[in-house]
Amino acid sequence: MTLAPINLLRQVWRDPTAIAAMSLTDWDLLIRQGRAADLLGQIAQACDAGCGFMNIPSQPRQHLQSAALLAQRQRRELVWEVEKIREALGAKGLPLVLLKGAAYAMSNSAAACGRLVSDVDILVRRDDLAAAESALLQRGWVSAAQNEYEQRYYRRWMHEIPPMKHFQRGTVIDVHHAILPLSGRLHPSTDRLLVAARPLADDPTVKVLSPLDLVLHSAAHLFHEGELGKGLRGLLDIDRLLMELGGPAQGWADLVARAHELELQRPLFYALRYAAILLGTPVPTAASEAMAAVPGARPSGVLLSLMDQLFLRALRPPHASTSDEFTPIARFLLYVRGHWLRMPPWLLTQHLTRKLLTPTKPPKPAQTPTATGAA
Amino acid sequence: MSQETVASLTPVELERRLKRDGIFLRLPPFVFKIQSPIPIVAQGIAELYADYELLADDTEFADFHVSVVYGRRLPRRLCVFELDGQRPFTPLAVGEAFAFLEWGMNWCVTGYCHTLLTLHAAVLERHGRVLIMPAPPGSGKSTLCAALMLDGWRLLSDEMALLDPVTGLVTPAPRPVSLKNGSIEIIRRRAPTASWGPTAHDTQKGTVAHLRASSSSVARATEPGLPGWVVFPQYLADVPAQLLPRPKAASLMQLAQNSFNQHVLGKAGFDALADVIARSDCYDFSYAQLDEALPLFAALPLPS
Amino acid sequence: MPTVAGWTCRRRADLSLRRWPDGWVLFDEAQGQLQCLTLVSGELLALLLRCPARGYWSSTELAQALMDETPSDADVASVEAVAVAFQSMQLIERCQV
Repeated sequence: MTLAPINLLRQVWRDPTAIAAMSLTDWDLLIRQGRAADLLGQIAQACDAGCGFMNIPSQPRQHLQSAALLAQRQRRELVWEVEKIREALGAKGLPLVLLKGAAYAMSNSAAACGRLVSDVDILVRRDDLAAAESALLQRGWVSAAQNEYEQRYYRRWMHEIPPMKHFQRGTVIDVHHAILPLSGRLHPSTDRLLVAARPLADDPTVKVLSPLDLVLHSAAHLFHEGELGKGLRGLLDIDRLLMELGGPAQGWADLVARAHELELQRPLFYALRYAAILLGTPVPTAASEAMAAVPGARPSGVLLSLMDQLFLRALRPPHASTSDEFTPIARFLLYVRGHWLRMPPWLLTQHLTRKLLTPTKPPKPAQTPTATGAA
Repeated sequence: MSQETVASLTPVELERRLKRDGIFLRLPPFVFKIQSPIPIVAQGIAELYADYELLADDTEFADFHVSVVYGRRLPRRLCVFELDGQRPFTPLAVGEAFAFLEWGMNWCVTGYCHTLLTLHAAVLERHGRVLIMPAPPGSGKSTLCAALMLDGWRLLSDEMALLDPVTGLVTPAPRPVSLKNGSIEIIRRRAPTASWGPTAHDTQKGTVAHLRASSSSVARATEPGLPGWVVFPQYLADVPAQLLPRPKAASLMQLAQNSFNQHVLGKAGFDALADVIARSDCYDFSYAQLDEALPLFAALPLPS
Repeated sequence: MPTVAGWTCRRRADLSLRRWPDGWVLFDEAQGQLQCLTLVSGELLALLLRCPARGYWSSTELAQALMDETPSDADVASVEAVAVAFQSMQLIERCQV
């Protein structure tokens, strides 16, 4: 299988000294691929760190700087939002444990550099779910579920309640009580994740998952996900987090052991494999071998071949330059797989039928400028 | 170095190139790669972008790769705007394809450009100072903008003010002036020899057509300007035209409400807008008749 | 509630103020919001941003600085009301004196 290379993207993180030598043609393609993959902010940060914005030709530079500004702005808003959430939960004596983008940003992880983050994801014990929801309702968040079916579906089968949107700020919070759906086959223990969660260096009242668990959550999320338009971004998160775990062999050994403990060995296997192939993440041979030796980690030869065909296509940017004639079907099959992993067959049929029969509203074109509030 | 313009291509050749690989067009301050198999798009470009620089087919970098293509279903009654394969809008009737291209290109700039502070405003220049007219739809801004341009003002944009937060200057981006419904006839009567693009009927906004930007405006598209006046226009039927000074704090709030990305630029954006207000005279303007409006603008004193 | 309120602004870095003859405009960078303020309330906020060395102002001191003379009880009450409004906008905080 020879698929369109994504060497321009890889190079940004693996060989930043080569950035200064890029031609305008390369820049044109990189920016288009980056925009399609929603990675322009991260590319901008990496390029600035690698050779400095002023050494980049003015035409592409403008796009990178714009993306960097947007990422900075979102991060600023996120800090405020986390504070408001902390106040809301704190009023009921509930701890705040952040997941994903919010966790990366607040813990100053390398995964947060230039990354756009809008929604905040938090993890609570199932027993604390009602109290957390009530605490948020009291401070202005309302459920964003479209209808009764969605409410019931989330609460019965999913690992999170329907997203909640703040009535004034318009920001969204996803309250998780597990990292994978209840209706799925894997049930990594929320309690173990919460016990291992660590406080932020500069604010002990806010916690994030442990470094190992951040990797595993990211892998679980990415390799259980049906829609992979942002798949490369998820893979880059994993790459950044793995690089942060550092060189010591013990870090990798701990990661493999923890994956086994949380039943996440299969997602971690895929994560290490595809990060290495697509992004050139330097996974030590010992770690790959240890991973392959964990029961249930490595899929059978036939299945692995199939997954390679699907993931190596779907994890590339959704752009014409990195797709081939099989990419649409690869994305479709992974979409079905995502649902398959999330729910038993009877529920899957019911859910998909409902989705097919319910018309979705077409997106509205943005026509008016965003208005800033006035007294 | 001589620059090739769109006018150097015959309409047939232009349509052929647009249909095949597309063309690279310099629309200052950006370069667009435009592709479309739809004849009305070629027609609009031929008529309205004749003066604009056509770049070589092997141009290495374009800021935005856009296209307007036919919808998937047969018969081909619908068209859709694409930014590099992404479709941010629902399809429109094929007759609106050129207008769709114009709206889509504006969306690219306001959606992705944050090194400049963008405002929803008409922008013109005279005597070395720039007039910024921020306004939501329905205020009569475009009609006024077209009339001022025909009266000799240099057009920087009918739709978007691009403010450089570092220099405080407005960057020109002259493009065809978009007019709707009754305004089209009003401006046709004022300038019977002016060039127009295709008319699109039954759009969401009614009837839409584009007026070609004056050659002098296009020729000076690389000359930024210093803000001098901020005027908030409002069309009001049967009212004599009047310019009333508007207090500055209120002007700043109103200007900010018409910005697309001030919040993205944060404090730098706020300072840039505040500086515009500081160095400009600010007015509310209401009018019914263009013949009354134009002399008032011509008589605007330079800001102190 | 303390009988003499102490007010402090911990978010000085987030806030930008510009003064015009018809009022002030405030930009809160953390919340991404613009606000129009009257001449008096804007002046008050400007004072709060220029905090004295000990870290807080009392309402009486604020009224004194605004008016340049000994304030009446009514003046102090007005200042207190504006300060409470700023507190609800999360610009300043009450502190124990």
